[in-house]
Amino acid sequence: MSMRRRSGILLLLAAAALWGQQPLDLRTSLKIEFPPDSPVTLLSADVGDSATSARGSAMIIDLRSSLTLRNSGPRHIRGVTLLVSAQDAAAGGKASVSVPSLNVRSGDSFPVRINLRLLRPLAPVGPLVVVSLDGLLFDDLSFYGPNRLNSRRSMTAWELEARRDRRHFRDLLASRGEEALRQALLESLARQSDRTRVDVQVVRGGRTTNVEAGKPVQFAFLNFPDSPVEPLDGGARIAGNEARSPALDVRNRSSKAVRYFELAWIVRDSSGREFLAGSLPASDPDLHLGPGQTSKVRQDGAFRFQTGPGKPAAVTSMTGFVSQVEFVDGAVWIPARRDLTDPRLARVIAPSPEEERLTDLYRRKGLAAVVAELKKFE
Amino acid sequence: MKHPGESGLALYAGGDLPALPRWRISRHLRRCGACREEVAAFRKAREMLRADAARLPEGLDWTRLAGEMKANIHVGLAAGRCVAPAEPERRAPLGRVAALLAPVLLLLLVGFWLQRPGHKPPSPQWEEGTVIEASGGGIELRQGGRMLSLRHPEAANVTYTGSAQGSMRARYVDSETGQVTIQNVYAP
Repeated sequence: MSMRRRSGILLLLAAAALWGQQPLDLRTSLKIEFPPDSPVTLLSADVGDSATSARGSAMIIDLRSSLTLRNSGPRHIRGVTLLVSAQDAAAGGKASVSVPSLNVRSGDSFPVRINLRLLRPLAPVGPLVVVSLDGLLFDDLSFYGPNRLNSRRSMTAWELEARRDRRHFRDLLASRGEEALRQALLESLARQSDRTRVDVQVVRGGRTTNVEAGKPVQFAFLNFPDSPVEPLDGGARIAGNEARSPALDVRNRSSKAVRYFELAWIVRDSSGREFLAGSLPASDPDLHLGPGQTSKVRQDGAFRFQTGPGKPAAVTSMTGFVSQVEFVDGAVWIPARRDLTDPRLARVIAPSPEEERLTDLYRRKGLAAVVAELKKFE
Repeated sequence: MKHPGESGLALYAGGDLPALPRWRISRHLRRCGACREEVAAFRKAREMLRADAARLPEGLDWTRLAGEMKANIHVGLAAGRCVAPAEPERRAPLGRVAALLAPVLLLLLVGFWLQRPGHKPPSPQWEEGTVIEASGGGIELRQGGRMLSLRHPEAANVTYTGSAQGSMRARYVDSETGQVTIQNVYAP
């Protein structure tokens, strides 16, 4: 080995060694910003298990934080969304952590856990991660927060789903008793465990898997009778396990103007398995779809699916249904529970966050805990 | 016997190789004394450098040092310009100026057309080469050498949903708190 090459490699190693020794104060790495008039206040922020390590010339930061927030306002909190920004690691990318299905009374506190991993090439300057409040939803469906991530819409939809599903379970309990409720919870758990799970990749640009040679595949639509938005036509280009450039035509068949809608996207693979692939949201940020009007959705980017490491799920057909609509007055529509009991849909779609929480509660603590929980929301 | 390259051995010594190359080299080292010695030398040198780095003078101002180096480079460049032969002053012909201005004008016009009231892009554009991936343990946003990942408990029963708008969602019940947690990662 020549002296010059050896010196070069030694220099690289020295740089890596020095880099690995960079001290990082994780307490100052996390900045939490809540507005002064925020109805929640930060009681504590624990970053106890966080760690940093060097990988080559980059740094890996594992930030494991647990925040304790207190409801310092007068209303019950039903959901919270925190915006997580890491400008240096994500160059404009953002993340959020939401906790729906809450029932936090005035003065009570609740935890929110944020576990992040960042890989960044440069020495950190200033806080690595900034956590701020994006929104709070209250029991009267009023909202507080900057709503940069449209968390008002998401949290309202989750809260409406929660009310719908709690009502379903309460009605079941009232009309047919505890055994019927137990049976419904067990069936839900069975559906959750039977559901096909896929690893999804959303990608923009770069090399694609021969998608130019891919074929256009049309959506088949499931139309719910009371859906305010009706899908008319749509499809995507499919090549192997990749679906690219989905497009959709819809019509507003309600009497109110619509500013957002979302199509749930179900994919069938070559072995006949169906799974919920993702969602196709309205692409126009300034959408105003008046009654009777039609609109087109064109999304760039591609989805890739695999059912396990190295097991691509070759897409053969696609089905879609309207899963969420927001009107210009802020009201949100979600499908009725009876629409989702279609056996084919029930096999594929995930339960609502609230149904998942209640079934998990049943699994861990039994029927009495679920009955008590349902009563808390009456 | 084919020996691994020096850089491979150096990276192996520093523990900076991915799993497969690391396994290959470790297999080779079991049979090759010369390469083992090479790796040992790299490790020793690394330790010495680490010790040297720890002995750096206290209060060494890296920012000032970098500033001085930068200033020296500027002085060198300026000196180079002083001794270089002076180029004759040339006047740009009208045609060349027009050729330079035309694309700029075109860009301005296109920009104005795209920004005009009523024009709406077909979809929000997100950066080329951005990948958001759901895998066992978290959702990852990758851009070149940078990565942001929201992690969730490995054992949790997680539902992933991608959005064609460029985001990914993971949902699970937190076993410690019993709360449903919904994580989202959004492409820039």
